[in-house]
Amino acid sequence: MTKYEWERELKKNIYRLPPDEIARILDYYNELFEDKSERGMSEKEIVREFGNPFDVAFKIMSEFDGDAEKDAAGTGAQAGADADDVTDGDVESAQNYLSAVFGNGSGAAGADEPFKTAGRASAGVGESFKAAGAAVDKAVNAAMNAAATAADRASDAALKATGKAVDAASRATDAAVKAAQKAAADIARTARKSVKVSARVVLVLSVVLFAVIFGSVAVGVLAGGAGLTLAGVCGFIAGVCELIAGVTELGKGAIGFVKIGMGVAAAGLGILLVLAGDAMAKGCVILTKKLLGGKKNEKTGGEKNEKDSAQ
Amino acid sequence: MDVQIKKGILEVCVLAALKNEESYGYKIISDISPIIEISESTLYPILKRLESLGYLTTRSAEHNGRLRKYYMITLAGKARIREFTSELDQITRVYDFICREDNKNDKI
Repeated sequence: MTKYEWERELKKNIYRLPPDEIARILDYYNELFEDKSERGMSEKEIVREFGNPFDVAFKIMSEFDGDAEKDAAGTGAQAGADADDVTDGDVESAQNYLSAVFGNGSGAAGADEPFKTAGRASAGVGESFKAAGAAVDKAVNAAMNAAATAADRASDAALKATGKAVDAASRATDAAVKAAQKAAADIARTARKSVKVSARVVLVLSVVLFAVIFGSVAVGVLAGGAGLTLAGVCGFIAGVCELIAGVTELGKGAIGFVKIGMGVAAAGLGILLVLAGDAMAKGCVILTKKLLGGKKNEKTGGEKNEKDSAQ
Repeated sequence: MDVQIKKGILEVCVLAALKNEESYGYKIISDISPIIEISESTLYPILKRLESLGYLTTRSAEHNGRLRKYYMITLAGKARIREFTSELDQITRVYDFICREDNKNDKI
């Protein structure tokens, strides 16, 4: 139970008190809470030390009701004491008053006894009234106490029932929240797995496509280089033939030299292209292996990490 | 201990805790609890009653940015302590009498 909840329950059960008294009680407990808190006690410990708010409220209300009864009893006792004080003095005063009114004749002395009798009778009536009043007070107090106790019990029972209902609702809410969280976690896990699989498929397809394109280019370059080399060799041979055939003719001999040069250049370029095509093809193979192999390593590393986390 | 007897003793204990210096709720409980059991809910009505009887007065003073209520004993409160201690002989005699009579009954 939190401090707020504790105060709320206390307030509910001391609502019959005057507002300034309720404020004083709350100030008192608030000050104690702050002092205990300053000494390092937790909210839970302090509330536990304060005790059940119903019991605290019951104690406060008992004191309050007891004080109220004492005040009422004090007023009654004072009234009874006033009545006791009057008896003899009042008789004498009344006697004097009547003597003054009716004269101090011999009959006045005889009037003494009736006054005393009247006084005693009056005292007796006073006693009877006091006894009746006390009985009535007692009955009224008993009835009020019984009613207050019954009301307090009913209130306690209702509060306890409400508390249980709130607890049950809270437990149900917690269970629902946990179930929702679990479902969300499952969905997220499945989604993560799907994304991983899709990414892997896309990667493999990309690597295969890259290998095909790059391999085709390499093969093209290789074939072109081979063709050019063949053409260069043929040109070289044709140039040599023309050179031999046209030794006597200066013009044809010169053309033969040019063809030989062009044949050598074409053959050299062809050889370079063949070498480049070969390098590209090898690079393609290495790169493909590296991409696929790297993915394998990554997968292995990922699995290892998952195992570590699990441990 | 009988509730009424304990209540009377606790009232004087609280006054005694204030005899030499003013104090506040938490400190009063801390000072008295090693001697006799007292809870927060027991102290409040006692303080209220002692104040209404004129045995103590209160003042509020700032402490760590909040108001704390301090209780101070009055002359009437000090007189109540003297009255209680002077009754000790009588209480002892009554106690002895009760014990004596109780033992007699046990022997019978």
